Amino acid sequence: MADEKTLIDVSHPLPPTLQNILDQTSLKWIFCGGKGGVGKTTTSCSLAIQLALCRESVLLISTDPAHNLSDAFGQKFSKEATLVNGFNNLYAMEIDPSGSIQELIEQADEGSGGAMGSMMQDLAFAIPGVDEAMGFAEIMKHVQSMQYSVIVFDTAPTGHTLRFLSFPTVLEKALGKISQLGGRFGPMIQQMSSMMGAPAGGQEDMFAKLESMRAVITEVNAQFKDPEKTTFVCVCISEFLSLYETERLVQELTSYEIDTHNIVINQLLFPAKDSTCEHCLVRHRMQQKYLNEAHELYDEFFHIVRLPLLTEEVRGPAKLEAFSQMLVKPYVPPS
Amino acid sequence: MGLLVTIFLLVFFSELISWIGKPLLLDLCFSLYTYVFDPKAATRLKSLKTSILVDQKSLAQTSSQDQFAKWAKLRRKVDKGFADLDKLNAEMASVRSAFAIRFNSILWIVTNGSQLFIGWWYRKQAVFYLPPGWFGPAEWWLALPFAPKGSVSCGAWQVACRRAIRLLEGIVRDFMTDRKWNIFSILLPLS
Repeated sequence: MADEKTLIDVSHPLPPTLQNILDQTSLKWIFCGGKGGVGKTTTSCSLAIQLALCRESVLLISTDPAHNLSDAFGQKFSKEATLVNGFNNLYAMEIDPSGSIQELIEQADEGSGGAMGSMMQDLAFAIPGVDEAMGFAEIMKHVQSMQYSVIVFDTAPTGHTLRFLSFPTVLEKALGKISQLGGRFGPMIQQMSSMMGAPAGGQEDMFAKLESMRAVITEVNAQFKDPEKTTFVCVCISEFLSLYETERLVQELTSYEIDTHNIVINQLLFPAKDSTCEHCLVRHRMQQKYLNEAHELYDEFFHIVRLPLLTEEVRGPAKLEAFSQMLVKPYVPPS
Repeated sequence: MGLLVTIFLLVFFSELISWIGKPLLLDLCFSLYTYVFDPKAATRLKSLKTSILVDQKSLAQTSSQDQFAKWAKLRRKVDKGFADLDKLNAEMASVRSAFAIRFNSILWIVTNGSQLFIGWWYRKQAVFYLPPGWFGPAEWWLALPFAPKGSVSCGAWQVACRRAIRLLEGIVRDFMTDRKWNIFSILLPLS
């Protein structure tokens, strides 16, 4: 296993820890993303725990429809930010982004007797994915008013996440068009709707709402593209498909101008020298091969954090806290 | 006599251009223009295309599973190449459309514009005189708009020239297609 030795001794231009995120106090939004099953939730929880040690207050949000935060901490979380047991400055919440538009429609329905609601519904289906994006914007608006020093997103799997993140630009344009149209045709629509018997003012209300939504999205978009405020942590495992997805994720993030300079490689096997477990050895060799490739590809610009595969599930605050140590102190396999 | 020949040549020239076809002429002139004034753009485009092809070939030959880092780097290079190519093509297209506007206006001035101008400038001049009394009341029409009575005006002469040239062109074309001896069969290998 000569190549393994050289691998462990590989000289890193950038330290293999997430200490850089802890040190960069200007950071407000941190996203953890990657394919499903690579340990995103564990990583984001660990990162949030580490951040809680050096920041005033930390909020951990899961936008994944399959909520894992509750499982990871062994505590039931809801749409409201809840203090995590055993911490005094770490909060967590679980939200379903697509739920938010439903509420918006229901709200509109109650407000103006159906006409507005159907209009909102039309809008939600007119632009594909707009419901999620608007839900996301609502979350951002909500969270922004809450004054946390840093917010960690445990995001949904790759494609889903990227769709959210790319929306601000698309949605901004679309909403800009709609509110422009509103200014031009507003009076006409109003006349029409009053002729149909709908109460006046409802539609103006909607355009005001859209306009405020647009403002939020513009603001959020500006923050996303600011590397001082936002960063994206890519989580993967040392396998071909996962690396492939990570490369795609990195390229897409770059095209959206979202900063990313950390890769967490999870679930690495470190069998003992005298191990006779054939599976472990084979798998270890394969992982080392892809680890090598990852180093060759990303060493220049990325902090590559290597985390081991443990023999137990990382569940509960205590275990997460222990695990989170490895984000700042590189894991050294027992020799 | 000078006027007669000048008008004929002008009409012949504009008919020749419409016979060659403006798009073809534009293509030729544009490639000449880029060759003379911006030789780098064409070579850049060509080298970019060849480098993309080379990278694509090596990308296809690299196993993504065995040499992931190399493969991903190549992939990035190919993607960047395509992005650059799109940008360069868009640039070329905008240069070309600007050139097309200028080229078409110059062509219009040289052909139609000059004909209109000559017809207006020599509107009172006779191109040549007809034998008196031969054409009866048609003399009045041939002298339109302001040429002396009994003469052929510039306008009438232009119309006559154009008509004659087109007839001749039709005859030549028929003759060539009949003989299966198309002019294009000679021209094509040359181009």
